[in-house]
Amino acid sequence: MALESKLKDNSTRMNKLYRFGMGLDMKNNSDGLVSRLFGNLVSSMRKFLFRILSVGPIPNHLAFILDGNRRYAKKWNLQEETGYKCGFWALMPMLKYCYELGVTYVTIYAFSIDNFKRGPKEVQCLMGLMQEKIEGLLEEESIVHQFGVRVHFIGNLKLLPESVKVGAEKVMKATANNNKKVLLICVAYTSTDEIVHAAQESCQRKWDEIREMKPGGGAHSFEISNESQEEEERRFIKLVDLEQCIYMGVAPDPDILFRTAGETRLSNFLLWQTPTCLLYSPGVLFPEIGLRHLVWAVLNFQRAYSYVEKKKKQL
Amino acid sequence: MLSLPFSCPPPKNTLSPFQKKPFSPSSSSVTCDRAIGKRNKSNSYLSISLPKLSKVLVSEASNAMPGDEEKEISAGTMDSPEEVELPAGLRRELMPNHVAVIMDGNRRWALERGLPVEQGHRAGGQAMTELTRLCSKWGVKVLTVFAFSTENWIRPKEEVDFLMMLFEEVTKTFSEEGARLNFRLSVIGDKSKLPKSLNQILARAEQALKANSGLHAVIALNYSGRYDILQVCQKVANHVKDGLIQPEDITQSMFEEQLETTGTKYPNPDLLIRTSGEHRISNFMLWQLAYTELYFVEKMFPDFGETDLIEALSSFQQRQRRYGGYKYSTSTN
Repeated sequence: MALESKLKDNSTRMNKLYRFGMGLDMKNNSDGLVSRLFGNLVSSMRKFLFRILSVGPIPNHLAFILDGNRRYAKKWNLQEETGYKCGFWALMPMLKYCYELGVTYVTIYAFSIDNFKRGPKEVQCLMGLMQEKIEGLLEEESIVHQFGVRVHFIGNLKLLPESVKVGAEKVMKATANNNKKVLLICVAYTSTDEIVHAAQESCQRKWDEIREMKPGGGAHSFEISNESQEEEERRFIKLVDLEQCIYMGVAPDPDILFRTAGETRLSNFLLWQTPTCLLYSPGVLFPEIGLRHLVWAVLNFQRAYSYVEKKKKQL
Repeated sequence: MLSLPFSCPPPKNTLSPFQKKPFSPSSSSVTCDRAIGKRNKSNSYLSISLPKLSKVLVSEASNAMPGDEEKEISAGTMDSPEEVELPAGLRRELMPNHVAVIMDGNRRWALERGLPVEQGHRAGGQAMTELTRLCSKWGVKVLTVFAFSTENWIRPKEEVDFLMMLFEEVTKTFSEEGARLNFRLSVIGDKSKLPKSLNQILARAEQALKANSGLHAVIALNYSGRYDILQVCQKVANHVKDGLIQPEDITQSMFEEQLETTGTKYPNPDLLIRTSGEHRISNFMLWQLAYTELYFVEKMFPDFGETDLIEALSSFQQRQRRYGGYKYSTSTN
């Protein structure tokens, strides 16, 4: 009974904090005026800080590996599901900070194809949570409406349960006309799967092009360019063909890749897109991530900016 | 500035040039902003604290001066890895099979000392030789070094020419010692742009050491991760064009068979070490690094010595590799 009560208290506290962080519930709060004033003060200080940061270059695209939710739950003797919820509650303010700062694209690694290896109960719990939160994106007070965010779900969506897939497609359709900010949610995603899919897709397109050019002809005939046969064979697929078919082709390469919980590995996330990306791996668990981590990462990005831009041009 | 109310230590800045965390004898900096090192079941997040190493030999690489002759690889018969005692704190069963290194910082090392850039590269060559010897001694099976990237052609011509000449020298030395030390050698990258003389020397060395069974040294020359992936895409696309396979037949395993690293027994690195404090992959082995543990060192590569390698290996051995699953495992690939 004591544990249940503690869990409920924690859950309620988390929920309150989330809503406070998002500027919600001000009207209904019994201390509405004080909360509102305090919230406005904090918000103004934050915006002032972002103005100072904006003197230097601001990253255009941030990517997050949301690691540490289960460890957070274990640390505070919570259920794993609560750990994931805490991760989500920490994510929303972080998205808000990113968009307020001027970041246009934010990518999050919500669920890897490798995560299907976890226990069925955990996977089911995660899918349930994902469905709930996906539906929440269309609510009036969500960050999507607040910042005009277009949402993309990136990954092999065929692997998802039908209800989650339908929800994701609904959100993508509903936000298709938003053009201020972009949120890319990687689900049922791994980078190696993405690359293989891009290779398949680009080959299929080339194959279809060839068949269209010579509908009655042999499968091997194609228009010979001025290049030699050998060169042409070498370039059946070009870099541009691959990049057109890659899932993440809707966004530029990320500038900073965050991975929380102190792990320094990519875990098959955005391998193609991060050749020059700054990797930042604070020891904090994802539900504990805060504004200071974002600020610190941006400062380091600004420090290395000219070097990275030079490298990007060489690519 | 809202965040969840549970207190946690302020973020450690390892990217700042002003904050260094003293380590064992060599005073190297913290590798990255992580609070692991003594990860235990209660998940207490302590700052990195490696066990004291009682048998650490201080590296000579940081004391390399211009005009010093290249360090000779130790003569005599190499003990098999099973017989060699590991430094204190390292466990044989947790040694990574494949270590990859981005050898960054040679030029900055030289400029910091008022030396010509070429001296920095020579010092880097010495450090690489020592690194190869140590990896072989401690049972690492594959060592891949990022010697020259596709982006490095943009450097001044004199520097590029010097590097090509240095690669020829190092390859010749490696080839001479390789038979005795039981090394093998492979080269990955687009060799078509390398000088003909270098290609000939590399081919001869690869052939001469082909039958050896010890450490497999892989030199990445004119290599990039994107180039590697693209060349695989082009190969499989040609199979599709020739009607050998359908697009939907392209699989991840087919891809992996075509990557440049496929010739090694352990194609994917377990541990990547990058020197000079840069926290990025720099277009190195993008596909192969999917699950690799990354280790960043503030030191420039010529200063990276035995102590630093021990710290890197120790850090690796304390990590838990889950590959996206739930089961905690400390085993390597």
